[in-house]
Amino acid sequence: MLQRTEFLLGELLTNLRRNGLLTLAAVITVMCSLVVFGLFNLANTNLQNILLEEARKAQISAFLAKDLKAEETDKLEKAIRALPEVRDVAYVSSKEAFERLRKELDSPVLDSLGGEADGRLPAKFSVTPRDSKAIDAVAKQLKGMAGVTDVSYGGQVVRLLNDLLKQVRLAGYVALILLALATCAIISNAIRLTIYARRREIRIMQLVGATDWFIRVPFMLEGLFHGLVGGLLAVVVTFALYRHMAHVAESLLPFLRLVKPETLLWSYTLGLSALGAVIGIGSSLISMRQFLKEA
Amino acid sequence: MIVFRNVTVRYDGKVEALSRVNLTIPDGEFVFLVGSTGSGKSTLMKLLYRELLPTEGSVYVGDDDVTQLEAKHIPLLRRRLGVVFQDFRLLPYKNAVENVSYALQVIGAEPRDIHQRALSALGRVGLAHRATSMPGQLSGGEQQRVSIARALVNDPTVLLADEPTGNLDPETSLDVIHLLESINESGTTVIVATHDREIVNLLAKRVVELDSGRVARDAVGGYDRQGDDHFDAPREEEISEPAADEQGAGDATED
Repeated sequence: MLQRTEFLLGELLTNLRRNGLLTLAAVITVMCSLVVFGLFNLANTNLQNILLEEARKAQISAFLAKDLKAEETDKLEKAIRALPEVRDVAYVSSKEAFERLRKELDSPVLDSLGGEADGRLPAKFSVTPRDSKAIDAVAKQLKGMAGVTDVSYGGQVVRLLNDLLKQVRLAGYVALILLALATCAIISNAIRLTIYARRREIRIMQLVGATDWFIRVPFMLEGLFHGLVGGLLAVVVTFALYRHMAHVAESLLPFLRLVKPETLLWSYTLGLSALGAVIGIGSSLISMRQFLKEA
Repeated sequence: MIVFRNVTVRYDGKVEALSRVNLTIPDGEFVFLVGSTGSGKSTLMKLLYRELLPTEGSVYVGDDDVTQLEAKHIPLLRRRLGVVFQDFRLLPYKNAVENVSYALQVIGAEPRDIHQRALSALGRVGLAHRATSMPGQLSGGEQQRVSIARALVNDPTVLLADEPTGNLDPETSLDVIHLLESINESGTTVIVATHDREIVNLLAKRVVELDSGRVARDAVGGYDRQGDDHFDAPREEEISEPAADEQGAGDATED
């Protein structure tokens, strides 16, 4: 067994050495394809994360009529609390609302308005739904309640993110398919050249009674080599790029929480090299099939 | 036993390479297959190792009708045959013993025995002392011996040699033929396709002459004895046109 493996590995090395430049081209193509796919996937993961976070902190602001009396406000709060989809309700007075706005905007113009601005902003209830998916339904109910003049919530942002996520995912898969096809074409061409260079050996193998599978193995190993090495290089490049991009993004947008590269490293190593291996072996089988048919 | 029964091979449905050939070769026989270029010698050989399927008829090697063989069983058929060609077909980057070993390696033989078996096959063809020589360092005759050793290494029951002396000078040719004869004496059926008249006439062996795809003569001994010359000028009446109803009936399929 050991010697047989040695023989096959010897054949593989001969093949790789013989078309060194093409081996390089095949490996690099696999790498590029998988880097693009890997980056798409990372973008997808991060968007999904952001979306979940956004959804978690999604709150509805229910603005109250200015002339609403204290007891009416209490009644309204009870009614909102009674809604089954509502997790929490917090009252934000007109003054508090103004303070928050001033903090958020940090603008001297607002400061100069001083207490005068007090009362111009409506008081509101901050309503947190139990489930971000119920946010539309809760908002609708709130809007129908007496004393509520208007509602606003981050529903648009969540929906927008969701749509974006779908698009990114779709683009990722389309890119994967197109790149996989291109990669297959390049690998199978590389292997076709190897086959051509080794046609004498193959003819002899066929004549002395080697099985088609035995003849295929060295070429499958070659495809596997292209795919695996390309896949592993892709992991290195993808994560180097990701680390860099995450660093830049986080320094530009401090509130952004991107997924830490370390937590994804192993699953990507496994995933990208497996994908590379499948593409590599698949391509070699395609070109072998053609040759064995012709022979 | 090798049997050709009503074998017709038509290339592209038109050109008739073999035409209703019937031939029986008992085990252990030595047969010369002669005829001019294009007479069908190589086609007949290719049918035996299933490089080619006949348009019609059956070909038996031992008990198996090779025309009915499933693709996955073709390698097993070929392991029972040894094939030698005019151009030796050695791998230039492997030395003599490696070239012979290769035939065992690729059929998954027990790795521990391979080197010994390859050396003993080289011994059988008288080249044990050149085991580590590269093909480029060997003479034509020696290269052909290495290729015969490769064909023999898996102990085939039949050895097919397609123009084995085509690239060799007369003296070396004779050596190679005597080698094939001695292999035959040890029990292997040997079929040699050649148009080397000298050699055929020198050995009193069965000679099957093909002419335009038909068996024109099947007898023991060289055939200059009758005074005619089939090699250079086939007789007109022996070149028969294929019957009209056979035209396009089927295609010879390369396999």
